[in-house]
Amino acid sequence: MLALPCPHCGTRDEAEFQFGGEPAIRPPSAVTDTVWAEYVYMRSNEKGPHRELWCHAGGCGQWFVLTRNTATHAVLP
Amino acid sequence: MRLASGGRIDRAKKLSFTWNGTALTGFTGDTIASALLANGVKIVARSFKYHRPRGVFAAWVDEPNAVVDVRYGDQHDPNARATLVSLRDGMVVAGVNGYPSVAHDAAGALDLLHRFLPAGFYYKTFMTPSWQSYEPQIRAMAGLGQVGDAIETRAFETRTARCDVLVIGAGPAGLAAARAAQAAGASVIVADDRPEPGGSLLWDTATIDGAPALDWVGATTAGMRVLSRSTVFGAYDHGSFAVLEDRAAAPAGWAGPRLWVIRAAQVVFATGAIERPLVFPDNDRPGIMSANAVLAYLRQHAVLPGRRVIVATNNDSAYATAIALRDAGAAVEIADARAEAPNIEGIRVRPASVPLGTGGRGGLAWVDLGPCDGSRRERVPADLLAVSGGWSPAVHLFSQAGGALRWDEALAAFVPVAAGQHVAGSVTGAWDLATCLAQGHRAGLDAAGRASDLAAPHAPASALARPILPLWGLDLPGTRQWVDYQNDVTAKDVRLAASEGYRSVEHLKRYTTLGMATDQGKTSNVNGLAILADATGQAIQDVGTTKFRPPFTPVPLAAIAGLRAGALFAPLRHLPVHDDHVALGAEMRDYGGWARPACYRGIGETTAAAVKREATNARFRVGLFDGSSLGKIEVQGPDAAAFLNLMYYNEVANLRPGRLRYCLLLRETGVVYDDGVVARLAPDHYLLSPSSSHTAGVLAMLELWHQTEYPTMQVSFHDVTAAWATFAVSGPKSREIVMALGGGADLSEQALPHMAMTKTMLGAVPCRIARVSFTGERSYEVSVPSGYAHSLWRRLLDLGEKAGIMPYGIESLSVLRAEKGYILIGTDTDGMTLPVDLGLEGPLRAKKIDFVGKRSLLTPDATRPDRRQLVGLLPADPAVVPVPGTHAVLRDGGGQRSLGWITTACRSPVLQRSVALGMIESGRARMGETIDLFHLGQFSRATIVATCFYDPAGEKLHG
Amino acid sequence: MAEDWLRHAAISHKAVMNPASIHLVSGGDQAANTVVGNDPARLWLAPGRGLVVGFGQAAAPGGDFVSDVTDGQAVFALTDADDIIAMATTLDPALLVPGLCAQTIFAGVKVLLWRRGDAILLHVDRPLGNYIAAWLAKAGTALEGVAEK
Repeated sequence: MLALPCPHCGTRDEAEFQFGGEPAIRPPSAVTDTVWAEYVYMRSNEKGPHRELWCHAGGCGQWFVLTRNTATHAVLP
Repeated sequence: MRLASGGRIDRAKKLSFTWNGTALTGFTGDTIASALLANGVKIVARSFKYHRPRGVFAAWVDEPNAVVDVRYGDQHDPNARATLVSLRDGMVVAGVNGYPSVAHDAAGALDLLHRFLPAGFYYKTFMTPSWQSYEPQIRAMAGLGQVGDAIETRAFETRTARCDVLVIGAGPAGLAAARAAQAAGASVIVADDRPEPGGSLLWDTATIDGAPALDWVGATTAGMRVLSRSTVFGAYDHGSFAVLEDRAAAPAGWAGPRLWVIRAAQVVFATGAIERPLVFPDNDRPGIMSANAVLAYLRQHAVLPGRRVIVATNNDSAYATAIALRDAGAAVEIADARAEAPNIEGIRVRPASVPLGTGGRGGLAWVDLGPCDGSRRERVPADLLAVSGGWSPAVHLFSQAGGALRWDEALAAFVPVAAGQHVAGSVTGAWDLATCLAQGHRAGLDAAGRASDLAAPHAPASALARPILPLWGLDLPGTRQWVDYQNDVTAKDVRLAASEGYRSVEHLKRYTTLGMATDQGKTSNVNGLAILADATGQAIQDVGTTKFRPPFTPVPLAAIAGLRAGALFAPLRHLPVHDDHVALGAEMRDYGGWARPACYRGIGETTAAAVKREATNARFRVGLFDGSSLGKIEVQGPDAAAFLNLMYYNEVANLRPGRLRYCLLLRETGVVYDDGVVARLAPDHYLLSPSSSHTAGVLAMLELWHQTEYPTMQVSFHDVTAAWATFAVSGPKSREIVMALGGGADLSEQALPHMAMTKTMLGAVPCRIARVSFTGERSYEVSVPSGYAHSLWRRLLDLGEKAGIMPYGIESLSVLRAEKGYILIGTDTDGMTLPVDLGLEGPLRAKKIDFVGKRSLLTPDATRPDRRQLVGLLPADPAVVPVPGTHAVLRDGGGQRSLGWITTACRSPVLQRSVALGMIESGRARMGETIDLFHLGQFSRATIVATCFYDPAGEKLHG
Repeated sequence: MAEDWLRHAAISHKAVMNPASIHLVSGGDQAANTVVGNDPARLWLAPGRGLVVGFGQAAAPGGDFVSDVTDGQAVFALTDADDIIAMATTLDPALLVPGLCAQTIFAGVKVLLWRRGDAILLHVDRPLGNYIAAWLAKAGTALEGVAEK
């Protein structure tokens, strides 16, 4: 039951959010199959501070990025 | 027996109950356990494995033995802990796991076979011919209560609450902390699992600030938010705690527990400590009890569990029990394991003395006392042996919340290592009242984060305690010394596990099942791991504890469900004309979270017959379908066309206003996520129709791409699915019926061809008419604001009556679309299907700009020629409908390889034979081939054909 | 004539209001979770996204892009709702003071809550109106401490 800080609505319960994974920069289409596959499938999956996308789907519906420690769940400001 | 006076019971309120059919009495304020003890009941249960007789051991949540079956009114708890259930008038209590009764259990003979049933026996014995042949009987012999099949009728609910400071435990330390935090201005909630606050003050005779301790409790808790009978059973993320509030003793009705989730900015762990038993031979006999529990029964319930008492201890705390028993008139002796013991008036104290064995039928009759090495023994008669092996701080919640523990050699206890957390009282290993109060006061101020002038509560300092002598069982071979009472685990089992290589405390737990019973090892864990340390030559600190996980005590699933049970378990959406469907006899089913008509069965009509009738009618006359659950997303803005073109597989920017196009939405992997119709209402105004179950997902996808990738594009998305009702009128006679609605829209072929839409007004009500078909027949989808749905539905049925209009449901629609080879996402497609697999390559070649998933369609895997492709299949036997999921196989010598599978199959009313769709390797190159199908060991044959079985030229749709 | 057979059906439930108009509007940059006005009331759901509710009579929605969702919502008026909110949501009650609104998960479904006078108004997708009504009925029974039949 994480408490997550939506930039528009303040801190709300985890059940109001959808997890969006690590954000990735979308490369232009003129890249190799390997580079494209890295973008589509590969994420660094760090233990420790982790930048990630969340959507406040049960609230304002806005997407935002926050940093959460994947070992302790501490959400960094 | 019950003392004539004293106790915190209400002697004016006598209660009647039965125990195994025998009528007994108790008082308000009793638990089932205290009432049984008062009535002299010795054997309350049989142990899990060996069916050994067991008596009540403890007085609260640490009780390992007294699991009983309780009936009250129409409620039934087959695994109630007798020490936690408040006695009610008329309760029916019975023992479990004993045949014919726990007092005389035939299965007690199992104990004679104990050498063949050590820990882990099921890994070594009962192997031939297989474990499964013995398992049913073994499971029947081992067990607790019998679960009934009555449906739960109690009211459950869940609640959330928040506070600045949550104090867990309303003993002296917890109350001191709450008092201080509140004085410092914090909002405080105190949660305590007992019926009233006070904790150990309920049985300790103590004074605080010069007055009786319970007076201080009353004054302190006035004006304080206290949740009593509330067990904090789990520590979760970010200061959230789950609490189960027992409401079984509530005066009005028999309400189920209430589940709280409390979000606290700070928490004070004042969770107390649990007394350990001593480990010695035959230490499980009924009549052996926790010394502190004996004191609690005496002070709280005026119950004397025995008249000739031996108190066996390795620490000072049990002396309070001995003195209280003496004052109550029992004959008391003390066996102190330590070499030096004090003199106590009226009590014989034997130093360097421990129990070496016990005896008695139906309960304790004597105890052998002597030194630890067993070199001498003296048999002393006794009917009660009160034991204390030390205290284990209740660190469960602290540890769940991430706190670290440290083994304190001097205290012989695991204590919390507070690194920013707030802990107070006996959970820290402090045993005297003055220290607990001071710790609580400090912790409360720290948690509040502010200062206060309030003085800490004061109690007289107690005499200096003499240190505990750690004692982890006796070195007496050939004896049975019990560690886990409920799961029948002995010290020998622990050593056996160690000798077989299970040296980790986690392995010990799982191999011996020590600590895995319903009491979760509250009285056995530390004894067990200390014996493991000795057996493996490790320090106790290095052995450590098993990981603490919620729940601290068992939680009924119904409490977690709260109100969300039965019809409220899953939110079900109703169509605007739901009641009309029901009135027409529709069988309503849950389709993707919507209640929709599967079919409309006539009286005596089977589902198959109804489906065939509806489908035939919709194809050859006219049918009426409720499509209101299909998504409707309005996309507006100057950049609407450009944005949607970046989203969709198909070209949508060149769609003329008033036209529709069937389009796919892909994931970045290129996989088909959703299909639907895109309508362009105006240059800057589109209406998307995602499938019913994907509306929220499509909207989320549009928002995601707009917000994160294309934020400067001016486009908005509004979900208007619920605002409009949509009915499809399908069949050769559809046009005349829709025209008869009025509104004056031009429905001629030129004005409204297939895949076009128009709008009109019915009176003052806006109406949209789209010519689009999922049946393969001429079809019009008529939409009005959903407040007018009932009127429109009735009007269409009336207008179509002469033409033979019939409503048709999802099941018939599924047959009609299958005949046309129209796909259903998630049925004919899966998580790997690309547009090319569906035969839809056109847009990839034609659309020059980028769109979501495009790059993934150009990879080698996406372009290899042997991908599975959607094809039609005609089974060789036209009467047989294959089961979806049936594999097409290539038989190769002795083996076979899958070529794909059937995705859709049904009996076609129009062709009067079975038809199927499937994803088959290189399917389109295999037209006309006959292949093998394989299902449940049987082979059959089918011919690969085009996906459309009826009117492939689409003549019915046009003209 | 359409007027003969076309009737508007309001939701008949004792706790349901039937506002004259409800519109989704996009445009503007008002901060989320604020309420402007009482009738019409403008409820800001997200940056640049609002709901305009006309209670007594239909309201002119304003905004850049508008969708009429009058028949798409069920609006419940809850009185003495503190316990209900605590049972159905994890919302901090401090977010439901006059002038603020909050979208959240209520009994498992997404709703919009805001204080209007003595009542807390609950907006939910109309197809879920029956589910909310059933949940409220069961919660009312639970609050009265009566076991279910």
